[in-house]
Amino acid sequence: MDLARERHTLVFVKRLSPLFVIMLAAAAVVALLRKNEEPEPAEEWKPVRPT
Amino acid sequence: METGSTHVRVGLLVTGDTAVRSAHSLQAHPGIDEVVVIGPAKSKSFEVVESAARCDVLVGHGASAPGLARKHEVPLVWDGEGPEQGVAVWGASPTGLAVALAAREPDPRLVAVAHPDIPEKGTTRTTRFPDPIGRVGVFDGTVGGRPVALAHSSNDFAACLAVGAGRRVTVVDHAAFLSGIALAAGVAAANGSGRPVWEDALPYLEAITEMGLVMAESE
Repeated sequence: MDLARERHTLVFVKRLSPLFVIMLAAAAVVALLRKNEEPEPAEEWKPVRPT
Repeated sequence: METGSTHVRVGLLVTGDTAVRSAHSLQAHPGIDEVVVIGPAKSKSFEVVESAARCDVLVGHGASAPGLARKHEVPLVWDGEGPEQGVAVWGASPTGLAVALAAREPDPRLVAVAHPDIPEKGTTRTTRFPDPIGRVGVFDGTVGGRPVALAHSSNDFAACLAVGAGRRVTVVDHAAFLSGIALAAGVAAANGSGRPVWEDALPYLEAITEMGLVMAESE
């Protein structure tokens, strides 16, 4: 690999890296939101008299 | 209610919608013989009287009620959140009802109320109430020095919730109906000395169920 090509790869990785981090964070946020949207299991209430 | 008389007569202080609703609940209750409105007022449903002299107890809502009761020199059942001169029973409100629910649990861990009249505030945690309220944000409050988690209900329903070690106990209903009965049932806890409804929780809870609210539990 010549020097110019190596420099080009380094620049590419440097540019890609923040984009990758942002995409990863966005995916985590979406996953969290989806988890919160999941309905909680229904509670079963039955009438009782005061004791 | 220990009135010393066989004929129980309750006087309604005209202090708002909650008080009027409580009068209708009291009128339908078998333990109450007569409900009158303390005038000046107009009423299609109740006799209006000028003097509360023959009343065993008065029922009133809001800040003006204790002063009116003192003027009539008849003990008051009140939905206020603390003792006041002339008040026989206080805390006869959805918040007091939630504390009364917790008072009958052996190891109460959470007392919570959701009601449309509770203002929206910044919340740090959520509590799950029964449907149709569901999980909502709560903030810390107190009633009579007792901690209560308070939540704004975004619909017309209110819920009182007590979480114990072994079960969750709740009362859910239309908010205005629940508030009226929570006030009316305070008459069952009146014994002459000023105290909150949860100090005599069992007769109070029995009265709210007799007046039409339903208690439910979940394990």
